[in-house]
Amino acid sequence: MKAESYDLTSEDNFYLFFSIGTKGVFPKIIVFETITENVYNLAFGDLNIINGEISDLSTSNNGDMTKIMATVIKSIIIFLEKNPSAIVNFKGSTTTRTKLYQRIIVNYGSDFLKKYRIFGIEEGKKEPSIVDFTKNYTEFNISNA
Amino acid sequence: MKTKSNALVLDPIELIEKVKKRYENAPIFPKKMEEAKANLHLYQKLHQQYEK
Repeated sequence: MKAESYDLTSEDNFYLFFSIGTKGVFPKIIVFETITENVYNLAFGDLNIINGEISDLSTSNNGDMTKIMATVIKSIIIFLEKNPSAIVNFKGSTTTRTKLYQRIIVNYGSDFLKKYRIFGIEEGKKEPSIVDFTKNYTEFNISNA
Repeated sequence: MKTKSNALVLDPIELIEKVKKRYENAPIFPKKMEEAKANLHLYQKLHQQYEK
């Protein structure tokens, strides 16, 4: 089951949305930064509208964390549709957020998961492996299957 | 950024352009980028295994 998410505005590898919740409206931005050819690192955070800086540690407590993280996952899906050969690394800025990403992915269901190849580094390990969603991971690496 | 009836109107494309300009010469989160680069060869090895 897909979690509710926000609408995204995109330009090149940049995706922007607005978190709308109990504390107000906060712009959030997702950037797929190139590591090497076809490999990207996902940067995500709150956007400072004055200077364009991104912070991944701010806590707006806007009551919509699941919707926000589901929007990030949605941006990865869109990015992989637009860039079929791309590989994306991503992790939450905290352990809780990484676990929330994992939960959102699992909730998409097995048919969805078959469309992607997902690797990750299991908690307590240093080397990546194919993801087994019964375990916890510190980061993920996703591409089209 | 524009104001309309005293309310702040945020243009998403304008905001994206601001971010692009801010980070045109540097990674957004340098430490995370370094970590990603350090693990790159491990993931590439895994991808090769699963492509066989």
